Amino acid sequence: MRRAAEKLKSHSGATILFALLVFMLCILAGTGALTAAAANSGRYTHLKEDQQQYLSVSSAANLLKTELSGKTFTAKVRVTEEVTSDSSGATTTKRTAEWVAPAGGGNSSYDGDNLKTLLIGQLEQLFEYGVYSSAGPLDTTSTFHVISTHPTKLEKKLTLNAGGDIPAVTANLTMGTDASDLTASDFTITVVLNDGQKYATTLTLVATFAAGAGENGLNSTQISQETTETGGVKTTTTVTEYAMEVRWLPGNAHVAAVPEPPSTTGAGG
Amino acid sequence: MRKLMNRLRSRAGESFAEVLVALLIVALAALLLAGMYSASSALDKNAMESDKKLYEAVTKLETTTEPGTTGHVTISGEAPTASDPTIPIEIYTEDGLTAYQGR
Repeated sequence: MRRAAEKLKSHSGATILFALLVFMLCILAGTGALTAAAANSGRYTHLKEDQQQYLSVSSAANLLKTELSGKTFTAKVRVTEEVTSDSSGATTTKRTAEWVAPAGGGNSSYDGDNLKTLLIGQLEQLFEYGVYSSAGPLDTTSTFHVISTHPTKLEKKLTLNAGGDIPAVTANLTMGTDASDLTASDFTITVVLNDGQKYATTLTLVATFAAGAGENGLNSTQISQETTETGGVKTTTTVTEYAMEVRWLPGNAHVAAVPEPPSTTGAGG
Repeated sequence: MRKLMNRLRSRAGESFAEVLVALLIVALAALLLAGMYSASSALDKNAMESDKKLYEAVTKLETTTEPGTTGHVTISGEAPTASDPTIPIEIYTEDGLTAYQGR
């Protein structure tokens, strides 16, 4: 006990202890500075990947903007309506419709040659809906199947792949509406591009109908009307053509890849 | 032998040796701290230069009008097919980053 008390009171070796304390503090401070610098340096690799993703999305958005801007879709459908009245006064109506093929063949034409095969189906569906709205319900036995139910949005998912080290970018195109009348805004193409990781951008191309377009953006022309009567049955045949020309305005799409907001999936209410 | 034992038992000059060893330890600590500080400064400087180069490369890639390497982008729908359209592009590479524009 006495020896322990003496040891505590002793000043022997105190200088070395103090020096060791200084040594330890210096090592701690140095390690802290080195760790911070190493972390800052490691951030660069991540930043480079991040910038490559940003460039992929903005390059794809600019390319799609160029491909879609100023392009025109034209289509024409001929609707034949037969109204038959028999001697008892009962009337039946039958409508059939068929595409009026453009000069280049096919059902319709779209002058954006690169994306024609991918988009023409959606554009024709929208057009059919316009004709459907204007001409009324068509006979289900018609040779031309005008869609009877219109989805809220017509969507098309595209993948842009430039190969090499450039990450692929997906583009979701949406067009159309659940409104009963077709307007130019139904042909507005909204494209949401993202790299599946961090960046996304929205590109909106506004559509316009040809000057002088009537209801639903359509130009309707009555081609013929004739009435025949056989054995007391009177048949009136009316042939009408519905044509549409829709064009996407160039230069109104702002392209900027921005980080996607953090997902709120699973957040409690 | 006895003289040596006396010498060892003696406490004369002990604090002087202690101070010398302590000084040595402090000097070593100072040396290590300076080395670490210098290394972290070099790392920081490198990181700053890399950042600057990276942003310069991004700016250049976004504003360039010079001809790049020719390539093409394939655009496919839900299921890729052999007839998917390919669009010709100009590919630009700068500081390990790549961007492209339609031709």
